[in-house]
Amino acid sequence: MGVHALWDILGPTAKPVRLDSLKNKRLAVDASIWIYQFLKAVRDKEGNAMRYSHVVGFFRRICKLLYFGIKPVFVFDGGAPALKKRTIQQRKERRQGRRENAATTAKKLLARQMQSNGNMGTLSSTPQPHVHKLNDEYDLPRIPGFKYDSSDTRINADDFKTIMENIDELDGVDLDSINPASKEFDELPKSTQYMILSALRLKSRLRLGYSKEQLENLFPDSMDFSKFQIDMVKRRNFFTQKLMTATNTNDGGASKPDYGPNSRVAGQHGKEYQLIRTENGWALSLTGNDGSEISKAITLDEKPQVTAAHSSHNDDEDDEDDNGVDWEDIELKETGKKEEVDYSVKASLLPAMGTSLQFGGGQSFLDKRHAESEPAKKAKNLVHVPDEAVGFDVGQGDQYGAINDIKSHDYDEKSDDEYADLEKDLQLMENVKRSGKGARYQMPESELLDEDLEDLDRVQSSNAGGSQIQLRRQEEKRGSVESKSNPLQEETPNTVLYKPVETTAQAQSDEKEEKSIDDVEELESESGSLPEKPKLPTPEWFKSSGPSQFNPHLGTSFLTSDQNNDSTVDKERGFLFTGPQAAEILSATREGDEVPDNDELEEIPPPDNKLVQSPSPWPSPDNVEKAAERTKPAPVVDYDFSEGEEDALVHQLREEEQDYNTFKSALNPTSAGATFIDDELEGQQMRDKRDSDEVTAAMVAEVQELLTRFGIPYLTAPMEAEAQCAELLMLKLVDGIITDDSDIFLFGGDKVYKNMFQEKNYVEYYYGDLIVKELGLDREKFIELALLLGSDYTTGVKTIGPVSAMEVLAEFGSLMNFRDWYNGAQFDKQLQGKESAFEKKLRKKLATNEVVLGSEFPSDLVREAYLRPEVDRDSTKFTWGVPDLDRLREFFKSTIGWPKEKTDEVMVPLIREMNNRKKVGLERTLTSFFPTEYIKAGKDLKLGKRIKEASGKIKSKKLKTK
Amino acid sequence: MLEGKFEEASLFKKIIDSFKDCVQLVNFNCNEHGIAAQAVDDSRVLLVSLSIGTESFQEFRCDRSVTLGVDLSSLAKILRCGNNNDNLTLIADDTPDSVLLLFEDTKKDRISEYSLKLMDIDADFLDIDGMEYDTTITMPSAEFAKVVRDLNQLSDSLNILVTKDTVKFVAEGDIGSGSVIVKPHTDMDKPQESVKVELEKPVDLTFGSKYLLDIIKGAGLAEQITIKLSSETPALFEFSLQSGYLQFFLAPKFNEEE
Repeated sequence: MGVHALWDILGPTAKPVRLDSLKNKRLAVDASIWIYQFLKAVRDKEGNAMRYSHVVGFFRRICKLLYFGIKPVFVFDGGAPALKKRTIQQRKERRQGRRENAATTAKKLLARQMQSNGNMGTLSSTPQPHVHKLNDEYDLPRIPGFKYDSSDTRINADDFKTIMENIDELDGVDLDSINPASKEFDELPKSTQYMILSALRLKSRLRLGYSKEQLENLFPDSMDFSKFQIDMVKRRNFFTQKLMTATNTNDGGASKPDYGPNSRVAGQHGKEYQLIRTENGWALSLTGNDGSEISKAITLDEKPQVTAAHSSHNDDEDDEDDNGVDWEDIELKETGKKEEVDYSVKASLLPAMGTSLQFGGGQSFLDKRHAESEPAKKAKNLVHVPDEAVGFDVGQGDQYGAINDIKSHDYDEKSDDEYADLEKDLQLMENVKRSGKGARYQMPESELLDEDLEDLDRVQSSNAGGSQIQLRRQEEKRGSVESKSNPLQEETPNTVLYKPVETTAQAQSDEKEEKSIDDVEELESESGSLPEKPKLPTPEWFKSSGPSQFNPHLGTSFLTSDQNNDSTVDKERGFLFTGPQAAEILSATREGDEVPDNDELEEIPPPDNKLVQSPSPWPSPDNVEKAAERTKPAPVVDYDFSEGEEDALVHQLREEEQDYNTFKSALNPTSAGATFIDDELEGQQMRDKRDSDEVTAAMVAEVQELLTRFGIPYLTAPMEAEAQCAELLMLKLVDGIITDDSDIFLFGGDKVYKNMFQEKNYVEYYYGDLIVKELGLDREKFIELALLLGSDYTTGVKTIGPVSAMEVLAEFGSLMNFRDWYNGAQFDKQLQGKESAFEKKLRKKLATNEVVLGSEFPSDLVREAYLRPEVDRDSTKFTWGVPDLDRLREFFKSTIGWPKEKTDEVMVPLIREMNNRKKVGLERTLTSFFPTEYIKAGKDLKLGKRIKEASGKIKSKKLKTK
Repeated sequence: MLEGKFEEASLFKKIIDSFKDCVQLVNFNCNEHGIAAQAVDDSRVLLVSLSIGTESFQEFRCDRSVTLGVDLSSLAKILRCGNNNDNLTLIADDTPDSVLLLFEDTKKDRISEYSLKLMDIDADFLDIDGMEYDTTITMPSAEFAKVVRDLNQLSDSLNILVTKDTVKFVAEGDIGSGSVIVKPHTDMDKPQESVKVELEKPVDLTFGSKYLLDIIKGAGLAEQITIKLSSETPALFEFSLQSGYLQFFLAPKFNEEE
């Protein structure tokens, strides 16, 4: 954001100006970052961004401007110049690198430790053999606290487990999650590739570390085992080929830049968060499984895979593998990548537990003929649904890609879960006794699921526990249900015949409808709890079986409200508290949202919240959180806020909040001081959750719509909004600029109002004359400062802060001299001996930080970018209209759901005030008649001593040259 | 070192009272020629310019120029403490933190001493010299004050129309309208009652009544007020002192159609 620390230098020259005195001034508003600010800083209690926070935020700011009789012109960013993009990129990398270096070592150690602990934990808690971690029959239980020297060959020599562990955690990378067929793999250094491949090959021979008993368990049918083995042979073959490619002359990966090995920073068993360097900087990949989209999208978790892996013992058909793989592939394809087959070890174990369970259920209940066709169809359905999700994405634009991936994963996971539930209910219905068994049978299974699924599992098991109750309830309600489900049933056969793709889903929902309301409720609660996007695909199920009047958008809520009338709140509450994590998430949501009725109980925070929550028990939560923040889908325009700036932003907006409340009560004393969160956005929460994390074109459009209804002119700059604002000022189309971005001075805007919305009656005013007078800084100097300090266009010179930057300018006069001095005597001890104390000190500082000033410094490119930005030079005068109250009411009603009164509360007094002012006639100010000179009381600004000296020198130099 | 002695505290008191309501923070610049001040109100519509020449003081000395940043409401509080007939002496050193106000009751030999803390005041300085005006009206300040007060009741703006030989004050408001016409005349017995109009061009200007109300607070300073007008420029309202002046510059309102 702007020139780093420039405001620190300029701070003392700020002049407080009363807002009253801005009456009738035309001010250009740099609105480009407003949306982003609101998005970032306005959060509800859980830290979720709120949809339409930008509309409310703009509304308030506009009201304030209009109240003081200011005539604003809003300027929006058009695009970011290449220079800016590059710099932001570089800076991120630098920041990233620094952070990593410092923390990595410690975290790696910790992660390792945690990992081994975690493995032990899962080992004891899960009756099912954990992949690779269970030892063969000769293995002895590990005694916690038992230590041995790693060099002790007696222990380590033939320890299979050690080998496996070594293999598993080769370079700290979870081998299982590596897909050698992926592009990323190709980009690994050859040596790493080789190591991984040989390890994988070794592993594929070692029955994946399973003991004989385990394998027997996994594959009750020897035919399945054979198929599995064939599959493994295929994989081994692939590995071998790959290995050869990696070792011999084939230049598959070498032509690509070597990004270095991915290193494991921290993690939990069965999950992997990888920091991966991509073309856009660093990305946190939350699943290492198929990394092909890492550069683009961040996959939230790999729960589906994990689930699948665990359920492999129920694997009936090897086809499932491929289908599962297909499903993955389609996602990849949709995100615009080449189709790749996932050869990772996990993929080989992919068949979804839920799926197979569901087949069982289907078989037991439905016609056999259905059941036979189901597996394939089911898989297709799986394919179909993400398809929908992704298809939706594409419409929405690239930045949705990431979110959608995440969501479809979630979605998949949840649907698996549903299937499991479904089966349970089927069994219940067929035979009460058997159902008990079935439930019990399932419970261990569900426990086997990954820790992360625990919450959901418990929901399941509690469900099973309460099966009797459910059953009774089902029967009670049957009458009414049947009437409801009848039409659906009737439709079923047809659709089964004609729409094979949807069959399974349909069958499911039919079953549900028929079988139990509870089940449907559960489905409801599940689908309701899906993040917004998957909500859209979800109704597909209902659409296929149900009446066609389901609007995909309304589908879920419609059903929910319909069914939940019958449901008991208690039960749902029960769900909420069974899984600690679920309870945490859900109840938190409930609290925050103050959802009045249980229809909305199932609401779950948007994925990013979940992301933040789930890593909490992890070794390095803050790192992960930060990373999560960084990896948020790219906004339309990438604003480079440092964390400090963002904190400040939040703080600022909080102040603004207070300011607004006082402002509002001043406008309308009868209205209570409602707060942003509690009141104004109430009733919006459902929609709040959607798309709340990126600045979208839609948001900009909404804001522009708002401006139109206010009668305020706006324009979209060809490139940067600040540059356009400065141009408007130079064209004398405006009298000043409202911005918090210090870049404005570099673009030539020298009448700047900062922090317009914090103080009630004053605003900080910076203007060129005074800055030149006090600091000796003009536009040229500002650009030189930017080159030293770093700005949006340049990363600056390391170690140079605001004070030393001023000193450099003062001492050397120009950056050219500075560079020549630095480079000239860098290796010349003699010259260095003659340097002044200041120069010596500076040199030492620069040299110890290995600062290199190339011949391109100071960059003409940057200079030019500031001096001649791409702007619109049209000098047509702006005109201002009057707010259209009716259209504003309508707008607020349709967007944020404000009732008429709410809009009127502020707008009516405001419009009255505006009319009043017009009637009275506008007061002219004396300053428009007399040349004005601003007199600072204290002869001296409260400048730092060094800055004062430096600016003195700059000023005197300037005088000499004149 | 500043040392200025007013023969009567009432003069300084009146001066301060006449503009303390429209501006709050004022820098008094003291030099060998006297004390001067300029201040603009918050809305930047009204400017006060004060000059107290050395003649207004009984004794005055100021070796080096000194700026006294004063909060007028605080100053007014202190001034209320002195009697009107007391001698008032302002004392400040060359780099003052505070200004000393010394009230001396000559008859009773009572001396009261107050010190007022000074402040650093950032302010705009407007270059108001060199204005030329189309019309100059001189009239009794009490009469002008009455016109303003009366018409203020009807509207919050006051229109001043100056044509040949007439000055017309017009106010049009919701409840009705009113106008006062003043014609130039010369009163030989009481020259201070005369109305004089020097007209080069007819003038039609509208001002905010609330600012005019501020201005007429200076009516106690001088018997006569001089109003200088020119279309589309700020008007000058001046009260002359024995030596020096108190001037108000008031920006006119926009015409409706603009």
